[in-house]
Amino acid sequence: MKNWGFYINNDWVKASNHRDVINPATGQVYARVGEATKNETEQAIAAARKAFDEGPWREYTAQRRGRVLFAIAEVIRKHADELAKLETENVGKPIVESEYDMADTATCYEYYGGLATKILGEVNPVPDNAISLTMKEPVGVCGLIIPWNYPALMMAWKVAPALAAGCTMILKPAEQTPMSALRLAELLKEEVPDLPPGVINVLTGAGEISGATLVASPQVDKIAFTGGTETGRNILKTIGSTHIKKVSLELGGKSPNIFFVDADLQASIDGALFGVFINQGEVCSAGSRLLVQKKWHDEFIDRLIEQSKKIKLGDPTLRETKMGPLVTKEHRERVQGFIDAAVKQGANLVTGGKAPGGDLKDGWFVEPTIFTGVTPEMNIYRDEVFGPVVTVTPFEDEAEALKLANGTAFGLAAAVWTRDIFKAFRMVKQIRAGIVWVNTMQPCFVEAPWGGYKQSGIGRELGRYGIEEFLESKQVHINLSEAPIGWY
Amino acid sequence: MKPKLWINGRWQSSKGKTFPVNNPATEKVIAHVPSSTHAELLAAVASARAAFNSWRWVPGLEKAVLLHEVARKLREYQKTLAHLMTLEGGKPFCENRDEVEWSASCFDYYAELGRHSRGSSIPPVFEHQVNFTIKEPFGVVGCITPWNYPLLLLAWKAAPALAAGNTLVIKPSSQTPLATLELAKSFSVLPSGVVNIITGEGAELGELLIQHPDVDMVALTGSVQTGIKVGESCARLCKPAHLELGGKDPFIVCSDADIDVAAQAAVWAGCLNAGQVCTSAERFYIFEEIYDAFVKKVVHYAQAIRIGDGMDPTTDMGPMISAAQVDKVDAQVRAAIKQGAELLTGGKRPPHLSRGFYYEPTVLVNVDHSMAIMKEETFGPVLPLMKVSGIAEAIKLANDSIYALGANIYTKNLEWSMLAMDHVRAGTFWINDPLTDNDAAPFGGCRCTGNSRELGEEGLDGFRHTKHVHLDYIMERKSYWYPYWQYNQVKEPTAKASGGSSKSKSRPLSKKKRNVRKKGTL
Repeated sequence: MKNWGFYINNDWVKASNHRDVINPATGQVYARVGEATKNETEQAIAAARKAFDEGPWREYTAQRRGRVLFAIAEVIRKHADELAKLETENVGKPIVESEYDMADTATCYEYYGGLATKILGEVNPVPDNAISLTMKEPVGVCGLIIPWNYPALMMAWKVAPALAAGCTMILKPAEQTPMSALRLAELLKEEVPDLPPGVINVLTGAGEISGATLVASPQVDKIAFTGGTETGRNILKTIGSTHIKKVSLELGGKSPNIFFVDADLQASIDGALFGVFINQGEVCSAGSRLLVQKKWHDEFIDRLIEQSKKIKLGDPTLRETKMGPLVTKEHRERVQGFIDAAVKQGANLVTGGKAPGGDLKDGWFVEPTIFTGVTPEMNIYRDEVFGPVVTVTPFEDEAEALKLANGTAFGLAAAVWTRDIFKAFRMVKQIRAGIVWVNTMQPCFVEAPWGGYKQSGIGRELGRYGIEEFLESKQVHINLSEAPIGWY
Repeated sequence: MKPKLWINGRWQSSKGKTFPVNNPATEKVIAHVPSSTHAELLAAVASARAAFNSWRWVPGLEKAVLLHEVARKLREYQKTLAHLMTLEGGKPFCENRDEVEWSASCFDYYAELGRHSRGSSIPPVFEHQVNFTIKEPFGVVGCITPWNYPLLLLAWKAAPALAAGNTLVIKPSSQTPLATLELAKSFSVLPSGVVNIITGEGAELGELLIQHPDVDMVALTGSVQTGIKVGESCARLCKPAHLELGGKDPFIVCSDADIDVAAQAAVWAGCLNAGQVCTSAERFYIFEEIYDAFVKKVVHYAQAIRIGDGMDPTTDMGPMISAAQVDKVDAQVRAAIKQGAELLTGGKRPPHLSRGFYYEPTVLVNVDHSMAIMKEETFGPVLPLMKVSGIAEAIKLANDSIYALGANIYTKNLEWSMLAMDHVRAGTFWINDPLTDNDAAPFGGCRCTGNSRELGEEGLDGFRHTKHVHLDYIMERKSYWYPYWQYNQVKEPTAKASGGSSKSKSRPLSKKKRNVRKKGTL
C-alpha cells in the first residue's frame, strides 16, 4: 500500500506520520496518507508564502492565470472517470453522483479562469484634482479547509477563485477524504507545468493539528473553510486570539423544504426526496425539514414513504445504486444517535431508522429515514444531522410556514413549492436564507452565489462573490496638482 | 404671456417671430412663444460649448450639490409648473403634480449616481502595466423633448447628461414649451450656459440643432417618424443619437386574475393622460374563460371616467393635445369599425363638452391584427380587447408588433408570468402593476421603439463615452517594435502559457521575452 506524502513546492515530501484511509462501503483500509505535524504544516505555509512574496506567480497576468485554470479544467475532464471512481471509493457516494461532481468541478475551474480577466476595480470620482483608483489585488496566502462530502468540488469552489485572484494556498482536504486532492496534485505536477512551485500545496492531516496551525499562522492571510458550525466557531476564536486574518465560512444548515397544496404533488414528492437524500443527506443545503400544508399532509407522507422505499442502497460503484454508505463509522454512529434520540423524544419514525444489514452489513449504511409528528422543540428538528434523515411538520397557512421556516439558527437554503406567483415572492422575500429555490431544490450553478445567513456562515462562494473573498481592494490616489498645500 | 429664451444663464428676448400655444381644454391661445432665429440657436450652442469646458471639470460632489438644488427648486415651483403643464398639455393637475415630483427625484438620483461612478480598473495583459477606464461626457447634448410628459422626459435626459458632465441645449415640443421655459428658474442654480432652452415650431430648428458641429450628441423622445429623421441626420454626421420612440404595449389578462382589479388596471393603463403615454397599454389579450366578464367590467370602468378640464380636481381624464391627434385616433377607430370591430363605448367627443380636444374612453371588441388599431401606435384613450385561448397565443400576439417598449400581464400563475416575461419582447415587463417607473431601473425598448435606455446606471452611460487609459510604468523598448528581423528572432512569440494538454516543461520566460506582440496589443 502506497504511503502518500505532502505536496509542497510542486514536489512530494515524505510524511513522518500516517493515517489509514477506509472505504466506507466495505470498511476496508485501502490507502495510507500523511498526517501532518505542526512542523510539516509550517513548511507548507512557508512554501506558499515564498511563492506569493517572491515567486513568479504574482507577475502572472490575469490572462495567464486564466489559462492555468483552463488547463486544470482540462486535466479534470481528461481524468474525470478516474477521479470519480476515487471519490466514490473514498466518500461512498454513488458513482453517478461522483461523475456529475467531476463535470461541475471542471466547469468551476473554467468559470474562474474566464473571470480572472474580468476582475474590475473602479475609478472613483473624488472631489479633488486627482485620479482615484480602486485596484483589486490578491489577498495573499490562503488556508483552504475542505469538507468530506464533496471533496473535489468543494476544493474547486475555493482553489479556483483563489488562483484566479492570484493567491497562493495550502489546501487541507478533510482527513477522511484526501484522495482526490492528492491525485489532483499528481496530475497538476505532470500536466500543468505553468503552475509555479508553492502556489498550490496539499497537506493532509487532522483539523486539530494542521488545521489549527493554518488558522493561527501569522504567515497566512486568509482562511476559507467549509464544514460544521462548531468548527467554524472555533476557527473564529482561534483567529481572534492569535493573528487576525480574513475569513470566510460556509457552515451548516437545517434547510426547510416548504410545500403548499397548489404545487404539483408528484413534482413535490420528487423534490422532497431529492432535496434531502442526494449524497446520503451529507449536503450542507439538505432540505432536512419538510414543511407540508395540512390539507396535503397525510397523502404526502404516504407517497413520500412509498417512494423513499424505492431508493436503492448499495455498492456505490454500481450505476444503479442511488444511495451509498455514510462517510465514516463515527459519522454513522452520530446519525444513528440523532435517530434514537428523536424516537425517545416522541417523533414518529415511519420508515428507515437503521442500518440495512444483509450484504451491506460491512459498510456504514443508514436507510432513508422519515420522521413525522416532529415539533420544533425536538433536536431532530433543530440540529444538523448530515445524513439521510428527514422530518415532516405540518403547517396551516403561509404565516405558519414562514414562522417554521425561519425558526432555526441556520440560514443556508430553503425551497418553496407553489404555482402562485404572489405566494412565491412573499415567501422568497421573507425567508432568511442565502439561497431560496422555487419549485425545485438543490440546483447549484457556479455563476450564482452560494452561502448562508445567520449561523450558516460568513461570505459567499461561487459567482463574482466567490472571487471577492480572495481579493483585497487598494485605493490609489494620484494628486494632479503640484501646488504646495500650504497648511502650516 | 410673452416668454423669452433661456441662453447663457439669462432670459433673452427673441428677434424671431412667435407661434401660439393653445390650452387644449379650451382651444384658446394662452401664450405666444418665440420661434428662435438661427443666430439665437448659434448663441445657445456657443454658450453650452463654453460652459462645457468648465462644467465637465466640476467635481462630482459639487455637481451633486447643484443637481440636488435643481431638485429642490423643482419642488419649490411644483404647483406653478404643474399648473402650466395642465394649461398647455391638458393632463389632470394631480398627474402633473406627480410628474414634477418624479422629475425632482430623477435629479436627486443622478446627483448621487454621478458621484459614484467614473470607470473601472482593469487587469492588464502584461505586467508593469496599469489599465483603467474613465467615463467622460460627450460635450454639448441637444435634447428634443415631447409634449406628453414635458418635464419628466426632459429630466430623464437632463439629469444624467448633466451628472455626466455634459451641457445642454433643450428644445421642447412647440405644443408644450411653457413649463420647460419655466424650468429655467430651477436650472438657474447651475453655472451660466450649462443649460440653454430655445423654442421653435416645426422640424427646422431641431434639424439646425442636430447639424451644428458643436452639438456632440442628440437625445430625443418622440414619434418613430421623427426618430428616423433624427437618426438619419445624426448618422450622416456620425453623431450619437439617443432615441426613445413609440410603443404599442400589450396587456395580457389570464384566467386566474382578479377580474375587477385587472379591469381597473386596464382602463387606467389605457386612458392615463388620455392614452398619450409611450407605455400606454394599447392592445389587450384576454383569456377566453374570463373574456365576457372582463369586457363588461372594462366598459363599466371606462364609462365611469370623468372627462373634463384638468384643473378640475374631479377630472380623471383631460383633453388630448390637439385636434390633429383626436382626428388621428378617431380615424383608427373608424377604420377598425369598418373592418368589423364592434364599438362598445366611446368613439366620439363627449356630448357635454363643446370645446376642447376631448375624446371619450373607447372600448372595441372583435378586433384582430389586420387592423391598424392593433398594429400602429394609437396614442389615445382606446382599449381594443381580443380574446385568446391561453398563454401561448397571448405571447404570440404580444410579439406581433414592430414595437417593443413595455408589456403587461395580470395573473397569479408563476409559470405563465415567467413564461411571458421570458418570451415577450419588451424593455419593461410589468407583472400585476402597470406603467410604474423606478429611477434606478432602466426604461426603453428595442425594435422601432428605439436604441437606448434612460434611467438607472444605463441611463447615465447613455451620456458618457469610455476612455481606456493604458500605462506602462517601465520605459523600455518593446521587443515587437522595428526592426522586425530582431522580433523574428524571438524564439517563442507568445507568453508561454500552459495549453490544455501541453507537456512542455518550460518555465516562465524572462520578462523581456514575454513582452512580445499579442493580438490587440496595438
